[in-house]
Amino acid sequence: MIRHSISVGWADAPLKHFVDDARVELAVLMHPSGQVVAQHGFQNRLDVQTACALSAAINATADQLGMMIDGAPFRGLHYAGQARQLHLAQVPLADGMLVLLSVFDEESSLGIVQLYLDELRAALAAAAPPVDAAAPPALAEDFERELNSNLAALFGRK
Amino acid sequence: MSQFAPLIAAITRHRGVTACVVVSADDGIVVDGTAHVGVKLNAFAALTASLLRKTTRASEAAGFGAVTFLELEATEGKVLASGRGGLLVVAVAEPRVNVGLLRVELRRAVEAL
Amino acid sequence: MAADDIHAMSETLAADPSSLVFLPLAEALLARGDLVRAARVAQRGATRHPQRVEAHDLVARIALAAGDEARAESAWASVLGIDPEFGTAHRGLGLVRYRQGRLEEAAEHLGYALHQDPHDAPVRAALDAVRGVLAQRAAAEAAAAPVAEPASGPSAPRASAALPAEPDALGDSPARLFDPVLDDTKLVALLLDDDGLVAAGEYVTAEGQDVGAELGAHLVGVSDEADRAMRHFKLGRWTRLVIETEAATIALAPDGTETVLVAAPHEVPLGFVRRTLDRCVAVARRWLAAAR
Repeated sequence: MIRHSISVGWADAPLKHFVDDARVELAVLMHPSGQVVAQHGFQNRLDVQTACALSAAINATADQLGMMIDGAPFRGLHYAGQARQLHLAQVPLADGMLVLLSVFDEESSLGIVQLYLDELRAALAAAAPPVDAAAPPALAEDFERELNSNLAALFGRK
Repeated sequence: MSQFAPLIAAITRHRGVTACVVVSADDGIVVDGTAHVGVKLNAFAALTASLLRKTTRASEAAGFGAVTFLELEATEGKVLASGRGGLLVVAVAEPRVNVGLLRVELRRAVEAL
Repeated sequence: MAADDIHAMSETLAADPSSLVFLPLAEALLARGDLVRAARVAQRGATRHPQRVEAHDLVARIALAAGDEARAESAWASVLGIDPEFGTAHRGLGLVRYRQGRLEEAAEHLGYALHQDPHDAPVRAALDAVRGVLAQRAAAEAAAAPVAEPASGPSAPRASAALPAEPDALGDSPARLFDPVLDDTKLVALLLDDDGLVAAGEYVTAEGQDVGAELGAHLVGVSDEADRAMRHFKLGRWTRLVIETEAATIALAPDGTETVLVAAPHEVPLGFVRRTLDRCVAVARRWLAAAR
């Protein structure tokens, strides 16, 4: 669980650096619940929210699947499409985990994304704002509720 | 021991070679390789594959056809690469390496892929 | 310098191997004729401080004093890789080339060195001697050989003019900049700016189509890619990229923010392409220096 003070924009610079170095088209960093931390390359807000909701769901599913099959959450997902590829990765911070979605075309590659991901992880760990000890911890049920509410909004169910 | 071990051994036998890696050309992911301590195989694999892809696109657009061999020379070393069938063989070497011999060895290794 | 001073500097260096005292220490050892120790101190210092041109220049001068011209050449090439305008490196390479009988290259380097320091009498004397020999050769060749037809194929080079005595003036056509180097070969050479635009040289096909701009635009991205790779490779700065393709050999070299490109048909020996690239880089540097 992550207990950070709200510190707007702390991840923008490291993410931009990653986007430039790895030459990915789109990148969004999010809480496991789907809440956006930083993004680059999206044309509109709804696309960001959609991508985050779906990515968070995939990440949650992969975690459960990994626990069932391997006794530990699966880490990392790569999908190679016709013209584009996507990569979903975990970014561990001192007090929790973030999820990074990257979308790239022939200008980049899985190897390049993984290479610069290590640098991004280090940069984010260094840039993360201090933990707000006074903030109440995000409970597991809060996370489930927030994720379900994002998915419901996405698929139009109340 | 992978099927690429003999090919890698033949290249790393050359004096001055500090790393040799077989790389997936599209992904830039290491298939097999060996390196001296301190040489980052993943970085050489990913970035050399990216350089070769970019060079190939430029060469084909300019009408020169596919790239068959690449040598990147720097003040403190060299990177040589050649590929076939979706795989690349990349060698990293010190400045003193015999480039002519290494080039022949690399071309031979690629024929065996 | 007194033995005590050398001893004191040695102590300082032993206590702090990253200290720059290796520079005056190696100079002092060189002055005393202790070339083995001077070379060791200078080389260790150059390894620790790979971006210091003075270190590599010192390695080169010590190597030359010891008669190791190959080592001197390599060290001065490192200097020019860091600072293409370092006059001492051009001076040293000019004199080495002069002794090797590679007179065209000697003239280029010495011309540049003289441009940097017009009062350098030994360089002026060497350059005058080189030009004299080259002029005699050119006159003898002109008298003996028939007029050559322009070569066909990927390039259409102009007939070779007399070697430029000084860096080309801005008024001369930039398209012809590399003609003296390319001569009647089938090679082409371009100088590209950091946007991939052609600053000098030309590439005209046998059909008369100027494709230099297109080639430059495609290949400058390769130069950027090499720059990115070097940040991770920790191999210093890249100095040359040679690409063999199905139809041609292409060689690139960075020169500050510009890139020099040489392209050759596949049958041209690789070593010749590399050598031509080095000579084109030297010509480009002189031309750019004259333009500043």
